[in-house]
Order: sequence, then structure tokens, then C-alpha cells
Amino acid sequence: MVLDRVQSGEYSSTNELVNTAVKNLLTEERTRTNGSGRPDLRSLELAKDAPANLDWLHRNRAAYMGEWVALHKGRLIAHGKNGLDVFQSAQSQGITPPLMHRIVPEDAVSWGGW
Amino acid sequence: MPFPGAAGRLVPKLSFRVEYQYKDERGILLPVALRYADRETDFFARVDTGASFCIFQRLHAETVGIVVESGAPTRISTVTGGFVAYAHQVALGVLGIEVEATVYFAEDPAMPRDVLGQTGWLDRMRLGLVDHDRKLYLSHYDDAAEE
Repeated sequence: MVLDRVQSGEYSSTNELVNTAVKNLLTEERTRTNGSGRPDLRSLELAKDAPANLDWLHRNRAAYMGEWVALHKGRLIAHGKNGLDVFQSAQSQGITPPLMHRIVPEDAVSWGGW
Repeated sequence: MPFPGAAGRLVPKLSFRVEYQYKDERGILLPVALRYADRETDFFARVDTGASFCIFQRLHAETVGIVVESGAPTRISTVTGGFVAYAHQVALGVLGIEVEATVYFAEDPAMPRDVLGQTGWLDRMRLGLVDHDRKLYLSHYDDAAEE
């Protein structure tokens, strides 16, 4: 079968065929390790909702300082000091998953990186 | 002195899969969908080219069922000190591109930052930035680089 592919002209030599096979194997291995950069509609939807969620955070930061908020399309779904409770509360309202954000005082100052 | 490329251009011309208009004036915040097994949690993370790793708050691990301390521990150093974080393998969806990555979750639930750093995210992406216009361009590294 291998020789057939060489004889049919698909590959000029068995060396070329083997090299191609090894290259494909390495590419597949890299894909398995690094992920393939698969299209992800869910995170595109998140990006679409991001301006509304950021607007909400900007407007309501002071009122919810120190709390976790669960947002969905620019609406507050749940909030509180316990993040897991907030997440589960949003889920129980059919938002799976909500966008979770903790509002902390440091967000109001410049971030110097790690 | 810059060196012209083979085509006579000084720099390569890149194309990207996504253009994103970001809003935040105190950093570049991107929405992230983090997945583990069949569970997902969503949050904003800051792009930080100076961060060695992707580092997330403990809660995000807990919401998808990850036992934080079951991962390999490492000490993350910062300008103000440091903290312990644990490595876990997750899927990260950002602006329509999903990759498998090793990320780190802070041991201390009080650690309030979420960061998309070099290993695990930036090293799988091709990133363009025009901060003047608040525009970020993104492709997976394996996408065709040039139109």
C-alpha cells in the first residue's frame, strides 16, 4: 500500500512519504498538547456581552465593593461575599454559567503588573 | 537598522482571526470561558505579557469542580511578595479561540487577580495590539499568518 502511493506519484520516494508521515504525527501530537485553537462560539458570545457587563461594573462598583457579582448580558443576577453561593444562586436562576467578577478596591488604582 | 524580509518589506504582514474593541482604561480585560470536564465558568482576565503564567482566582477552580490543592504547587513571585498557586489542565476559550492549557489557581481565596500570561495562553496565540485605538487582534498560532 505504501509502495502504491509512491508508484502512483503521490510521493516521489518512500523517504518523502515517511517524512510526511512523521511531520503529520508531530503536528497531531502538538495539537493534542497545545489544543488546536478550535473555534469557540461560547467565548465569542461572551465577548459580545463584555461591553454591557463592563458598563454595569463601572456604574455599580461602589455599591458592591468587596462582593462577588454574577452578571449576564449587563444584568446583575446575584451578589454576595461568598463566591460559590453567588455562582450557585445564578445557576439556580437558569444562568449557566454567569460571568463572575469580584469587585475589589485595587481595581480603582493603577495596576503595576506582577 | 531593520532588515528587509525576502519580499522587501521591513516587517511581516500578519492577518488575524478576531478584532476586539476593549474598553477598560486600566488594563486589557478579556472575557474568558474556562472549562474543566463538562463544566464552565466565565470571568474577565487581564492580558499581562509580563506574567509568566495564567493565574486565576481560587473560586474559578471551585466553580468547575477542581480541587485546587490536588495540582502541582508553585510559588508565584510578585513585586509585593508572592503566593502559592497550583497547576491544573483546563480549556480556555477567549474571543472565539479555545486552547488546552496548564493554568494556576491561587491557594489563597483572597488573591483577587485573573491574568492571561505567557505560558499556556500567549505562547499559543498571535497577538496584535493598537492600544491607542483600544483594539486587540487575535489568532491562534497555527492559523495562517499572512493573507
